[in-house]
Amino acid sequence: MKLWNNYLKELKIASRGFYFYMEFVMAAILLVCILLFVPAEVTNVSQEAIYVDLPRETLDLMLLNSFGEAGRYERAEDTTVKLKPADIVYYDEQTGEKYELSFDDKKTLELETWYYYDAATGKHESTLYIAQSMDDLVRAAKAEKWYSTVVQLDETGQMRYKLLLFGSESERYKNLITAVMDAENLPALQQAADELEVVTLGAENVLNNRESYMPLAIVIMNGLMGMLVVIAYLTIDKSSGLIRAMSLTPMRTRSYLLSKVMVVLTISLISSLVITVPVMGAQPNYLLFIPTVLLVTTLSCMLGLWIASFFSDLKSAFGVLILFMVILMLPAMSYIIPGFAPLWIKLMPTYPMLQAIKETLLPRPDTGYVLLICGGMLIVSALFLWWSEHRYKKSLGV
Amino acid sequence: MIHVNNLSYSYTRDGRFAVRDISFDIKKGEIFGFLGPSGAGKSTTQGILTGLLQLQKGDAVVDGYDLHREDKKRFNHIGMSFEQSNLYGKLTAEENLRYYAKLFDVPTRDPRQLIDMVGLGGRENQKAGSFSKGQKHRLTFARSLLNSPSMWFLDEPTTGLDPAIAAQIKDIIRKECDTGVTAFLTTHNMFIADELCDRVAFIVDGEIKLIDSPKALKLRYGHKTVAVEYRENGEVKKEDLAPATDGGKARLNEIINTCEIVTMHSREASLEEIFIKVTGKGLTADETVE
Repeated sequence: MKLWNNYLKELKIASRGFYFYMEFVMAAILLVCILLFVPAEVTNVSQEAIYVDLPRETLDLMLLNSFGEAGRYERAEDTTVKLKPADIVYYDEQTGEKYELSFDDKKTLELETWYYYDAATGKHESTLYIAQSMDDLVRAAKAEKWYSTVVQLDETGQMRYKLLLFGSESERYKNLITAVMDAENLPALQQAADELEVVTLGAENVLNNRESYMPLAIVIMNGLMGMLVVIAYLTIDKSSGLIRAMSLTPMRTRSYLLSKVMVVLTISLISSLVITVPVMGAQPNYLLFIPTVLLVTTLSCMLGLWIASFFSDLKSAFGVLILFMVILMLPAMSYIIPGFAPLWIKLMPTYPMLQAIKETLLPRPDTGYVLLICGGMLIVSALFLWWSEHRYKKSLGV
Repeated sequence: MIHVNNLSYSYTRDGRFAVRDISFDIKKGEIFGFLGPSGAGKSTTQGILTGLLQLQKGDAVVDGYDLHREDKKRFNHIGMSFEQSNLYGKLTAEENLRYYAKLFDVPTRDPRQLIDMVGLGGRENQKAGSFSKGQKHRLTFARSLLNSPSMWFLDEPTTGLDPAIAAQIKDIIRKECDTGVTAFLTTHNMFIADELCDRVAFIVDGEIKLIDSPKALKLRYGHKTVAVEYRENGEVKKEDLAPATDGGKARLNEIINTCEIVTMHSREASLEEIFIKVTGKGLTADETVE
């Protein structure tokens, strides 16, 4: 009952403060950003430039016919490229010849633009810009970092391709390009590609690009911010002497600490749902998601209680708090780059937090895995609560 | 009501004691003043007796509860008026008291009555954060009475209050103690101690130098003096004379017989003067009086 009364009091105080609403506003801003600026599907449209030193009819034939059933080119609006004066040096890798070009003028190019659509998926896969001269191609390629190709006829009347690279490409990449461009290799490559069976594992049980940001948003916004808020609440109570008044009542120290955590849990739950429901709809298992979010916040708050027990005011706690937050953020790198997951990152609490939240958002979550992490978070939270309570009892001072 | 035996406390636990081997007893219904300059050990002793500090060495029993044993129930019978106000600024005066009242397991007093009692009537719905320093202090004082404590700790209860309000607070303390409440008052204000306390303890450098009633201390250490202001040869002069001594008595007679008296009144030694006499220290920290 005292815990409940204290929780209501803390909620009342929080609701009269700025932070209470700031968290919801933050959640709303985050929601708008995710919905408006993070696409559900990532499109990886490559961009290339080409200069064709051949009659126009030949170029049209190449564009409209040469790719057969693999895809099709469609004319798009011309692209404007503004060029600045530049000095460009490039080498012919076959002859070793050095070319030095110097352009003193500013120039605006209107490049003829074509979109390439994949026949099977209908997706816009690449964009081709057509330059009117070799100089324009070199300047545009340098300015826009486009891979570029020059197509011309040699002395024997055969088509020759020159690729403009940036010098940073590996030998393997160059060899691959050379092999692909060599017409003699094309049948063998085609055969190899046809024989290759590509299987996507669990494609139907993954988060799309937009959804994959949700675990990060939830752990950072609720977990780490929750830790910050608890530390702020406690250090403010400490420096204003409120905690001393509280400790001279029959209320248990634990109830006092838990009431603070409960306020953060309330804010956390509401703000999590504010961003999750519009993005994820009915996909997550909310019966699993809600307890997981609450446990993520609980563990963060308990860490916050423990950290706050070492400091008398927020100012002195701030440096350590920032350090903790930066360290706890490191597993986010592993989340974004799954190939980077050393053991020391997996041992940080935010790593299982991210994985557990992600799992609850999947269409078919691994319930056992989530419950295992939740159990772990519960045990660690209880340990930190016990430790913090012990420290608060000893460190109230006069 | 309070029994303290050989109590010592060190913040650093390295042999440097804030309170060293002190012992005293306080009877039920008594107002006991704990007097000393800043840093003397008043707050440390009070911290141990209230439970804010853990008992390290010695024994202490408060209101029947042995402080060696942790028992939250004892806080149902303890009231504490802090020197520094510690209220929820975002809650109103009444909300502050109502919330606090819910933390006790015993019947509590009506918050509105207490607010009226400390002269804050009409401000029940005002947020504590908007109160002046004195108003906050009074609300903190009122809060300490919520659970009708049998043991009441008062830390500088009239600090920062104007004389009229201070008189009101002193009156409340007297009335409460008349009903059997025991008060442990820490202060460096000897006038308040003199007015309120049944007994006082002088503490300096963590050690109790003396315990007695203000009256007994004055009898033992003080001498009555007469302050006389007189006109002599057109000039106003002032002297403090001790009529109990032969010289003082003769000089007083001489002034009365030969000069025009402007004012004359008898004066007792103040508790502060006795404190200085007994401890050799003033009431500001580190002040040594020769």
